Amino acid sequence: MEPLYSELDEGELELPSQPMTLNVGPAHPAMHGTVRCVLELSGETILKADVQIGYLHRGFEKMCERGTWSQVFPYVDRCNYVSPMLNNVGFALAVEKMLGVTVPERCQYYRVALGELARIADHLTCNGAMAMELGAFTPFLWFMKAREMIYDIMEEETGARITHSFGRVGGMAKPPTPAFAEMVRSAVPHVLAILAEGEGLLLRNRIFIDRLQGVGVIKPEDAVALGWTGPCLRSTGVPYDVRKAHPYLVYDRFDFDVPVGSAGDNWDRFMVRLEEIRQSARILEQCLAQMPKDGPINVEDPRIILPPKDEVYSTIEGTIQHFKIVMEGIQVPAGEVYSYTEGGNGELGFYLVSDGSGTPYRVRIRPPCFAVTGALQQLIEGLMVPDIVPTFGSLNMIGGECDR
Amino acid sequence: MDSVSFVFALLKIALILGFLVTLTAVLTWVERRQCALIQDRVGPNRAVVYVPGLALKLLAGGGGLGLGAALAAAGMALREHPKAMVVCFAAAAVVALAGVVGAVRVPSGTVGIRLAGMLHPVADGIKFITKEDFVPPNGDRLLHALGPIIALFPALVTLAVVPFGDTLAVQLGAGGNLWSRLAHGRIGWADSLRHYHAAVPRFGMPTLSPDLLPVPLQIVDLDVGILYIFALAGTGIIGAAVAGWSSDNKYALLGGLRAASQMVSYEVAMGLSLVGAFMISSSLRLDDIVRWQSEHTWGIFVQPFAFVLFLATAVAEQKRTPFDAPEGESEIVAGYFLEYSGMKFSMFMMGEYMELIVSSALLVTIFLGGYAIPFVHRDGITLAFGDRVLWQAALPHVALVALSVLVFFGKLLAVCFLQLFIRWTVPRFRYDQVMRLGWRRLLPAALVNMMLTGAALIAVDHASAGIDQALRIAADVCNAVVVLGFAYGGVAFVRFLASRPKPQQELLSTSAQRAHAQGGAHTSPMQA
Repeated sequence: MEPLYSELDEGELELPSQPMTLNVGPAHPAMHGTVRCVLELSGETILKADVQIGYLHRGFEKMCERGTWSQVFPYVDRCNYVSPMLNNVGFALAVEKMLGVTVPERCQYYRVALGELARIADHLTCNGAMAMELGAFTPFLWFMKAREMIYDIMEEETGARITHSFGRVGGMAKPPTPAFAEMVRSAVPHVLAILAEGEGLLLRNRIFIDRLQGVGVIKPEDAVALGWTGPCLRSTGVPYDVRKAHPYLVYDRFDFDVPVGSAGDNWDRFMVRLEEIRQSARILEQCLAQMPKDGPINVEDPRIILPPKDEVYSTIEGTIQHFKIVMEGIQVPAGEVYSYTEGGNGELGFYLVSDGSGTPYRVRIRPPCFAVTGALQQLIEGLMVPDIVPTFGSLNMIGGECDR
Repeated sequence: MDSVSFVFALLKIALILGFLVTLTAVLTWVERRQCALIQDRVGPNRAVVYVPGLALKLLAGGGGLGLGAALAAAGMALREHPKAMVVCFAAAAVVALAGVVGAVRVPSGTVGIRLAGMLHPVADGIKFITKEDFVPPNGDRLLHALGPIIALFPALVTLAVVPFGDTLAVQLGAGGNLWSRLAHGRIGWADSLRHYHAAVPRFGMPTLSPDLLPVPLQIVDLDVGILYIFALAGTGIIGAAVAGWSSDNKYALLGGLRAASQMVSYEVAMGLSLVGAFMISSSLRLDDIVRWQSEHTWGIFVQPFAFVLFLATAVAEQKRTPFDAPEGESEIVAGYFLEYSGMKFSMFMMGEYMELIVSSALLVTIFLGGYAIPFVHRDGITLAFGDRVLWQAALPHVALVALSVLVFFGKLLAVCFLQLFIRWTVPRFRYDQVMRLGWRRLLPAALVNMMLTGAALIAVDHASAGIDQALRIAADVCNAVVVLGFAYGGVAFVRFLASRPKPQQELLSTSAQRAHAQGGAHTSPMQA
């Protein structure tokens, strides 16, 4: 007896199939920051990915061109709502570079301390969210608890928990509160203890390791070519940290290490962020020790800094000074400047153009997330659908900053 | 089937179903409490019923005084028995006092009753029933409705073959039909102990005699036993697959596919992991498996490997973390029940919790001795190692049966709580990792376990009497370990309950200090 279908090829016996198109986002739990991924799937494998950003575009850069220089601060706050203080400081430094002023030493230390607190909060959020999206809910809430401690300090210092708008050209809105150093010294050990507790649940967990290691790998050359910076770049082994490579503020006075990874996968990105939290704690410790106990926090320049309120109400000079700064803005000399700092996700650049008036002519923000998100497509192609979650999570894309 | 066993069967079904549904609601609460405990959160406290304080005062005071009066009246009626009278009067005084104290301590004004979040399942129920039942416009209406039913049904019926207590032997009285004989029957109080032990042997089934009615505490005693459970649990796969397919949603489809392939894969390893236990007790009937463990020692000591395998596969079958890829909420949103709302969604969730209860019941029955207690047999307590009897005490039959039922449900609850804990400590597998673990690790491990068990059984069968005796002593040592472990655990638990944790409060900011000074907590978004 002849076998059935003997004249057919094996290939012809298979059912005809075509890739399934799956639209992930912009409203999707893993696509925080409203990114859209159009995937072509064969089973669970991603054949082709089309990553589309821009769903959170609010025209921040354009909006900056209609207020005074000081009125830009709320916008840069809202660019990165995870570490707004770093953006505040970054923008203030850029305008100060144009003005050619340097803030007093106490303010520099204060900016470093607040910035490092913000960095710890940023990395806690990113790593916690990454674990949560992989199903490990408990470490996430622990990390959030630690972040709350930092937010408590921020609230006490600035009056706001998230969008502080605390930076000022030529200083800060307020000097540090008397309890600042004490609060930081009491909170940081707690944060590190919670971190260690969370690590205990994750770092030796076989499932967690298998989900992260060897997933979302990028070569250092590719990362540099794409313009990656920050923890994501360092995870590939390139030790570029603006704080070390081009020290600003007082970063050259601190002893800290730049953690680097080797494989450039999700695991390395996770571990680099964890280690950076520890390094930030080191910086904080040294910063608090070196910070002058008293002294001016703002530059002594009436054209830049608002006068004290009692002078505004009692002296004509104060009233005029206040009026000029509020109504006309700080007069920044014409020219252009590019200033860059180490943000939560990497090099945060501000390219400012001034026409000599009190209003910025152009504010261009160089967000670290934009370059990093640009690689998402090549990172996830060939992986499986569940791998999008840790890969995208480890890039720590902040929609507000990426889309602006 | 005569009318007596029919009525008994109905009673048993009502008991098991009532237990299952209640425990499902309780487990949702336990899960929330546990995760709040682990994650340092407040946990469920928002479902609240406001009652006027006056009504509560009246209820407490009136109830206490009324109950006290009733007890006092009972005491008066028991004048011939002075001891009972004294007990009744004392109880009346305590109850009345408690009522009055309670009434005084209820605060005036409206009182919010939260019951530690126990009202949340009730609130959930109201929400699910009143919520819109959304069906995707292009979905398959029939299959969409059928999905949750198919998913829930096997979980509801599988407990039918699980014995939840030792066989109750009723000694029938004289005369008439079975009902009237039952009405005059007795179930072994202390005075008839010796007679009972003659009829109801220490091990095995009660001897069949015309004046003894055995009531197995098991809804049906099927010869196929555990195969019935596997057969029915297998149909649950269809529910998930149908739900994913009929929802007209690609995420749901992916979830349904993942659920179907995962459950099919783990079904195999799950079944094979239990084969060792069947070989040892040489029966598929769960009752026989429990009796074997009662005679020897708990299954976990003879099949420790299988216990771990079964636990892992059972978690995978329930699609709970870390095997919750089918509903992975961060990647495929909610998987196969993405397009379900209201009561249909609730049926999936209930099915999941009931499967948890069923798998816990199987774990208890096959590995943790079922209703059996170490050193406790039908004739009471016999503390013995091998043939050396250390201590013996007789107990009434009805007390032993009641104890066995309580022990079964207690073990079941403990295993349920343990299984819930897993969820909050591990992340989830990727789909291909789940498959690899199932086929490449657990399945070969189950096969190896089966072969090793077979070899060990042959060796034991051909062993000398000395080794046999040594094994019996080893079994009793295992039993002793269990008893000591439970004693230690009980003491630790009581000490845990008695200890008052000192709340750690880190008052960092002045706003927190101000809130604290005013008697409130520093409110933060995390406490919502």
